[in-house]
Amino acid sequence: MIRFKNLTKRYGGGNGIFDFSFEVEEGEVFGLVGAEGAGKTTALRMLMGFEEPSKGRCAINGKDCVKQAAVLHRDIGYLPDKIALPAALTGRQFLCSNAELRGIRNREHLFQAARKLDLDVDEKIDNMTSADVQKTGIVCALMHNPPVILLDNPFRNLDSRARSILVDLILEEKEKGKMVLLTANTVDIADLTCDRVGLLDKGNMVYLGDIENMRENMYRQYLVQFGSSRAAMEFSKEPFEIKSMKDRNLVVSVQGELLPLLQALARHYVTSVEPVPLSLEETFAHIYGGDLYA
Amino acid sequence: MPSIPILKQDFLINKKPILICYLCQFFSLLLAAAIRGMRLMEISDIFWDTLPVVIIPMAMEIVLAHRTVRMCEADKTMDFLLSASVTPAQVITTKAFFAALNMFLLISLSMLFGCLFHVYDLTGVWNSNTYIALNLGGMCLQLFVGGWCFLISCADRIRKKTAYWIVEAALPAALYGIYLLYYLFPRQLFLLQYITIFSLFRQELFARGSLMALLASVILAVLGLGCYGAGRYLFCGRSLRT
Repeated sequence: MIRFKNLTKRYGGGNGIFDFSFEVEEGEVFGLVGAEGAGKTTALRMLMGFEEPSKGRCAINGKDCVKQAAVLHRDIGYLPDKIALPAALTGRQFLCSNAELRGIRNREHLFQAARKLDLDVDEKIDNMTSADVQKTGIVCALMHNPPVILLDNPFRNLDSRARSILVDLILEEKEKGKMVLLTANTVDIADLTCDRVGLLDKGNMVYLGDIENMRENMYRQYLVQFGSSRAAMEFSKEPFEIKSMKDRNLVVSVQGELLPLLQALARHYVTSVEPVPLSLEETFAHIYGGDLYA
Repeated sequence: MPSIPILKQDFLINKKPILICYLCQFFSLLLAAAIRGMRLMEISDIFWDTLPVVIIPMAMEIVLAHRTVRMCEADKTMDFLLSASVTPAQVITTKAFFAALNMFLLISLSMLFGCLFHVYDLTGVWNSNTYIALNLGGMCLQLFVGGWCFLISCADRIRKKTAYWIVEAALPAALYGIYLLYYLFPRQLFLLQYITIFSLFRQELFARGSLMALLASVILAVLGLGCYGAGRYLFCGRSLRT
């Protein structure tokens, strides 16, 4: 079990993470979701023992993450945020070197993950795309079949195909009963894999709960294009919040379940529906302070 | 104990700059051999002693300390090492060992060449023993330079790149420049010898077989080891505890 207990890390200037308390069970995928600088990376680095807490503690399977870091590392697969690998090496050289460090003799598991991610390990890292660098980091994190997996922004730089493969990989690890703690900038990423999520805002956990509950609270906006201005006008009488209306285009906002909106749209002549990208704060305005749409 | 996989990885990552240093060393020695044939003693002296014992190893120490510590931390490759089952103390000790080992091999190579070509017969003031002592003294000097660069690379408080490069690279280079000025004009600029640590490495003392040269070399080696130790302490202090 991963356990944060009143964990605080202050960096000065109001930065850091404050009073984190939560647990991640075996066979669970937990997502820390927040904007850049919200404290996600700090939380993971604390688990790795790279930083000492200002207050509180964090532990994995009862072992203190700071005092027993070197022992714990045997059981942790860690992907740092914004990685850059040694450019002079090939993917294979880098992975084999890390495997050697971990004392891994059978490298089948290592290259299995690489094959799944469609990664050419013989490519020189300098020539790799940022997606391949990320994949190499992921393979490195999973190579020793660790029971605890910490992935800092694992979907960064990945295309949709690689994302879906990674989702499968994470869910496979979950099936094996492993603990996975990952971070993401947006909820839709966490939605793909996580059982529970914690929403972070400036180092504070503003929401902690299961993903189902979160979906119900999500605030979304859609740009709907109707076949005519009249159709748009008719739809505007439906009980939905209309953010803006221009000719036959409407921006409709909805919180929670999408089904009522889809049912209402089905009654009108609609030519297209597109989601409007919202920041995390906008998506969960009611959690982050609530006055964004007041 | 240094970790062999980290040593191997560092070698693979840094083989290009290391190879460049070895090539420079080799060309310096070849030039010296050619100039020796032309009997230009003073210039030949520079290519036998100054370049291979001081300047090229110093450049290598500066580059390796930066690439093995500072750069690894900046690009997060250090995180991968630290997250493997090795302690930070082992990681950083290996990095220090790697830099020192390369310096040792580089100077040893030039010393071997020097001995093979009987370079100590060149000016008439050296013999094989004093020449070997000079090179060993050079190793002590480079242990200090390497230790200093390593310490600065480990000191994460120096965040600004310019400040870092000034302290890590420009400062040792400037101190050596000051020593050269003193060496060229010892009477006019005698005060300069007191403001540069390179004054502890004096070729004329080695040539005379003076005990002072030995004492100065020991001081340099101790200071160098102290710098390596301080760098290790700083690194382990901010990284995870062992």
